[in-house]
Amino acid sequence: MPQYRQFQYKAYQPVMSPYWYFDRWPYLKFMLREMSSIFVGWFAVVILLQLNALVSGPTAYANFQHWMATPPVFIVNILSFVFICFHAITWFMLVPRVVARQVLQRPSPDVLSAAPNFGIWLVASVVVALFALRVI
Amino acid sequence: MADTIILEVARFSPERDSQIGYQTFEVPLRSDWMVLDALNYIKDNIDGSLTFRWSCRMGICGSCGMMVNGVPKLTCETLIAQFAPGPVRIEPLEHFPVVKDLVIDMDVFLEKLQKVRPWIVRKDDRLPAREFLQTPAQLEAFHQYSLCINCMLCYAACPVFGLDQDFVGPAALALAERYNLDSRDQGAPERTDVLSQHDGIWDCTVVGECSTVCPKGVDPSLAIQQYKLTATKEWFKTWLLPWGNK
Amino acid sequence: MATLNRSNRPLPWMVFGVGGFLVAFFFPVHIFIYGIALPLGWLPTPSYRSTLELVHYPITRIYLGILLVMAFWHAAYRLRDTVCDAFAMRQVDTIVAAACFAFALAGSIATIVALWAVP
Ligand code: SF4
Ligand code: FES
Repeated sequence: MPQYRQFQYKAYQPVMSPYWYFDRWPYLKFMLREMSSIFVGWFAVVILLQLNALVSGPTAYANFQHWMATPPVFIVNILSFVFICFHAITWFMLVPRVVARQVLQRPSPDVLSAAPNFGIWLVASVVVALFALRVI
Repeated sequence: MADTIILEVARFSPERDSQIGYQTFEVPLRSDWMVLDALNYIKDNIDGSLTFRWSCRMGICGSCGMMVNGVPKLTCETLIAQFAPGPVRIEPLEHFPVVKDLVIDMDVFLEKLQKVRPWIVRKDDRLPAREFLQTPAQLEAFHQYSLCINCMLCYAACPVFGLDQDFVGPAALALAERYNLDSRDQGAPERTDVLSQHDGIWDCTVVGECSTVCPKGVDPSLAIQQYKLTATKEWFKTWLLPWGNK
Repeated sequence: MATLNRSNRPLPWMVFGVGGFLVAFFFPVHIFIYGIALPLGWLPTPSYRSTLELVHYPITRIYLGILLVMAFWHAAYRLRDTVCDAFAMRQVDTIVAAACFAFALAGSIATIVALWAVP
């Protein structure tokens, strides 16, 4: 900054609105993606509660199952599902791309690096589902 | 197609104003006109005091960046007809101090740029006897990041920079990565000291808009995430392997 | 040793990254089954006994332990940035970070305690 100030221009300093993420859809999308963290925290707690109920006996577990079916909890769970799927998709599109470029040392096609993750996602879901539903 | 279009142009005079105001202009709507042509029409025919930067008008000098309907664009390669029937809002690049009308103060960016040492750093300063050789594969490793024209659109698109002016920001980080990946360069350790900081790469929350708005396909967002990976590898080397800290 | 000036973020970031993968791979199916499909009766509900049997397998407990602990830290890391960005409060980042990581720590301890309590 120059010492001489008399005719130094007075620039306009923009201020950012604290609600900047409503300005444009990509920013809102970013904020929604980040908000998935709330739902990750929520459902991690739900799994803990489930574990506790399971260990505490059949009545406690029945109560837990009943609680999961109450409308407010059910709605939050639906939201969690949507948000976390959104997290998963954005994550699978971005992270493998970064790793692939690091490994290959050159730009790599997005789709190719993202594809395996969707495969793993599917397999993992099926395996967990088979266990959870006691098919195996 | 209507034969005119309305432009709402941000005006700011450092002597008179404390806030940005908007002035509307009606300009001819021509299918081959860029937004910059419309602004030049205003300057030539309606109001000569309208101030904005431009030079090459072919998308390579990087000086004509402005917010067009809220999105950072190079105005010399943005067709105005796509916004018909209008109005089109033209504003100076976001998050930067405004000097006059559509002209921003780019010192903020230049300081950041300098900080990352965007040039080839060698351990000894002796001039090599001959030029450095580089294979096509070595060139490809950084080529994409070397396309940056310093137009600052990515800064205008970056909310992290808006929230935290100390953030080194997309283009500077991409250029740091450009030199780190260059086989001729030896400055990576010093750059990592500057960049593996909270206002360096770790401030980035991967909004990703820098890469979307970049007119040159530089993908600064990718560069930053890659850098995070590199910095993490370095960190683990330093703390887990006693001999890693060299 | 210039390297000592570097941020220690790589450690939480690594956990955030691995946690992000685990959450992405495994959370949707958990929520879908226990949160949506079973309450709606889309799928036959397995008996209490057979579900309890599930957590008796060491592999299930290891799986749940890793998944939940990583999920808590993943969520905390991201929640910290989200809170700071959503309310433009990067100035109080330290407090926000402390609160988020305290939540993750509490969650991790609760996870270990809960898994320990499995008979
Ligand atoms: S990275 Fe792209 S948007 Fe950013 S200054 Fe360089 S050319 Fe412009
Ligand atoms: S005038 Fe040079 S990039 Fe637009």
